[in-house]
Amino acid sequence: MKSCHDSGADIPMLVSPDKEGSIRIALAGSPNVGKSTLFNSLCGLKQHVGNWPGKTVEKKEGKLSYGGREIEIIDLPGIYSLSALSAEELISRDYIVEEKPNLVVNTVDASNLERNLLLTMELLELTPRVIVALNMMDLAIAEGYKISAKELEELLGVRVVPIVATKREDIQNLLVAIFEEIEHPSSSKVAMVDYEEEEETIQELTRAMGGHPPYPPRFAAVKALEEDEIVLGHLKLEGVIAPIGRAQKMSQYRHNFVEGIVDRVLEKIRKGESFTDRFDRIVLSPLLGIPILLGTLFSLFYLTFNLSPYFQKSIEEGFSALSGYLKTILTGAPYWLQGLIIDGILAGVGGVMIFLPLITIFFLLFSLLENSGYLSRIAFLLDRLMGLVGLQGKVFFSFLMGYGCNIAGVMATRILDKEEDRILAVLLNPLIPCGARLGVMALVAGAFFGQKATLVVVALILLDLLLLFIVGALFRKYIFKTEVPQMLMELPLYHLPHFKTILIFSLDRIKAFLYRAGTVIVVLSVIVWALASFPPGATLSESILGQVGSILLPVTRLMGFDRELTTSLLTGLVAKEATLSTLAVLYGTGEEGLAAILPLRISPLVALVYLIVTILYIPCIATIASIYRETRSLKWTLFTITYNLFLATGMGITVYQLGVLLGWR
Amino acid sequence: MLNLSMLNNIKDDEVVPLLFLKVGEGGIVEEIRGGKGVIHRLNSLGIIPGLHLTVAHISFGLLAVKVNGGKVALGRGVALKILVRKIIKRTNGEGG
Repeated sequence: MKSCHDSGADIPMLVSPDKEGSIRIALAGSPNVGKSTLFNSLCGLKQHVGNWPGKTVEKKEGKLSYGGREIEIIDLPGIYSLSALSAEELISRDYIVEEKPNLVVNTVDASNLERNLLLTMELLELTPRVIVALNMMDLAIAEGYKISAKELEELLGVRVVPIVATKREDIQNLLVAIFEEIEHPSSSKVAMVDYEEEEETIQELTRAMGGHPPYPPRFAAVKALEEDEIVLGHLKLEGVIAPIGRAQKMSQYRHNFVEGIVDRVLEKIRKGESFTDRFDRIVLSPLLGIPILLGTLFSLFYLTFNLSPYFQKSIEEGFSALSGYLKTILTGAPYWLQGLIIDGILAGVGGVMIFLPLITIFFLLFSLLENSGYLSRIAFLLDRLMGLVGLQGKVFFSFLMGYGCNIAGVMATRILDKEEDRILAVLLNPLIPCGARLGVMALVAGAFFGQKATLVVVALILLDLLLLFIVGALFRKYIFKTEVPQMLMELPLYHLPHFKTILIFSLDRIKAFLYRAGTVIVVLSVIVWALASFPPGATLSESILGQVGSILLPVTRLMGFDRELTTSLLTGLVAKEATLSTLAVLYGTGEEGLAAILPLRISPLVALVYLIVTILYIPCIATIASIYRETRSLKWTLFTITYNLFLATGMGITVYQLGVLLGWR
Repeated sequence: MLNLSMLNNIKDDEVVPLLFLKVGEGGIVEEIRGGKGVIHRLNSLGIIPGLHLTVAHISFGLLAVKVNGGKVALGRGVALKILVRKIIKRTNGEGG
């Protein structure tokens, strides 16, 4: 029975004492239908990102209070169907049957109704407790569609709420509908796909299995005919054998059914090319596609590097003020305590925080590109090119992200479907110079090459990219020995980015970076400080750290490095940006004086080699940790460290020796 | 949406891999060859036998096809596995 009171915009009184208790809602839907935007609109910052147990699939949970009740929202992974063929799809269907959320809110993209309803029909086979959030109504109208939500509601037998996920008012309407559905579940008969000629077999199978599989009988029977491994496994235990060779037919019946619905609820009122088509014709054109792509990427980096110094300056001043203030407070304290707090902890955290503006701006712009829909076009444009070196276009997401922070880059490999492709992308990610390394490059290049500094940095980045491709091709050919996966993905419609979503996406990525500043870096800064200050009274070059540097000297000397440069690379293991502060201490100057003193101590050739080694050698400890987390393999983690180290040493020695031979000192 | 006026215009019955179509050309999916995984992924993106699709863009050999309301990017290998019955373009009626 539908509720008798009006479902207008006002919030009904819902709390009755006997109906309290928490409500759990699952959001289900395909990628690119605005599900994340809806989730963010509902929960705002009250969300938590974790992993599904035992899986490298992100689990997002959020909370929201409404009408005096606490609602828990689970954002299920973006999926196209409910098969057993991907981890995401399995997680989603198992969550719905096992955890039994009060309601499944199915986000449907109104501008791509037919494809989206395919998933809706599968969901309805799994549970009748569904309401449809018909999202992107504004886009659908802009594309010239007219959709009758009322009629769709009647045909599906579940509530349909047309929304624009960024609109407050629409979110209110959706919440009202959610509550009404929970309080007064609709009693209309939920639509089921008519599998025509297979219906009889489905009936037989349902009777034979006697409700034993964890799924509802009809869902299980349909999946059995689609040759779903897991359902077939369950049936085998019960001695039921399902006929095979009907999977394609089942899909077709489902399509026919959905097409029947769409024909009745959707009307194309305006013909002609949509905005997305017109825009794509330009940005995907053979002539302009690549130049536009390069221009976009150039702007991304240009803006990042030109905007961040303004903020960096204030952070620098803040930290130096704080350090001055602490010095006055700690005047009476023992010498070692002063050193620990000011030179150890504060310097360590400050050294990381200085890169925060750079990374924040980068990720804000990155999320903007991602949210607008252009990023998937980049993957499309680059797929063939990347295919030549054994990589797929989608890998580009993770690489681009790596320029912000390698931790985020390594985590972004999750969008790749196959395990070996993910591992390959993880292994290659440290070769992308992250924001911190780009910062080091900018400073050192600035000190040596003046006007030509930008050119040198860009040349190094391009050379590094070339190296990355060579290494990638070699790994694909000799280690993984697999084919490059074929591109098969949706190109979403372009839309105006949603500010809140961009902000939350960026925050998620920055958090990873901040987290290490707060934990790993503090601990390691203290350790490095201790190694650099012991035995007591020793100068840095006599300290333990300096001694280790000396041990490595026979190798690093081949690259033209002195003890100071060698030692600074050691501290770079903690965080790449720490190399600069170490160098400053070793050369007996402040970080601000470093640019002035460097050219007096080393030659431009050595500086160049130092930059090459900085790009290539072992990633920072936090990245190593995330490599381990994502590959869950000590072998691959050690392999990454080893090949990075060999590559850096090899390239460093080659370039230096060549340079000397050519007489560039 | 299925455009009936286009359906009526079928003159060329040739069944070819999708890969052979040019930008602006369309066809009806006749058959999808390949493993269970590929077929399933194509199906759930809305690509099934009987579907009408149009090649919207080609970039370095990759195809972006219009499927109902959406657009799907396909690698060359995938496009080779989708066999379509070609429909001649309404505007210039050229085969090829």
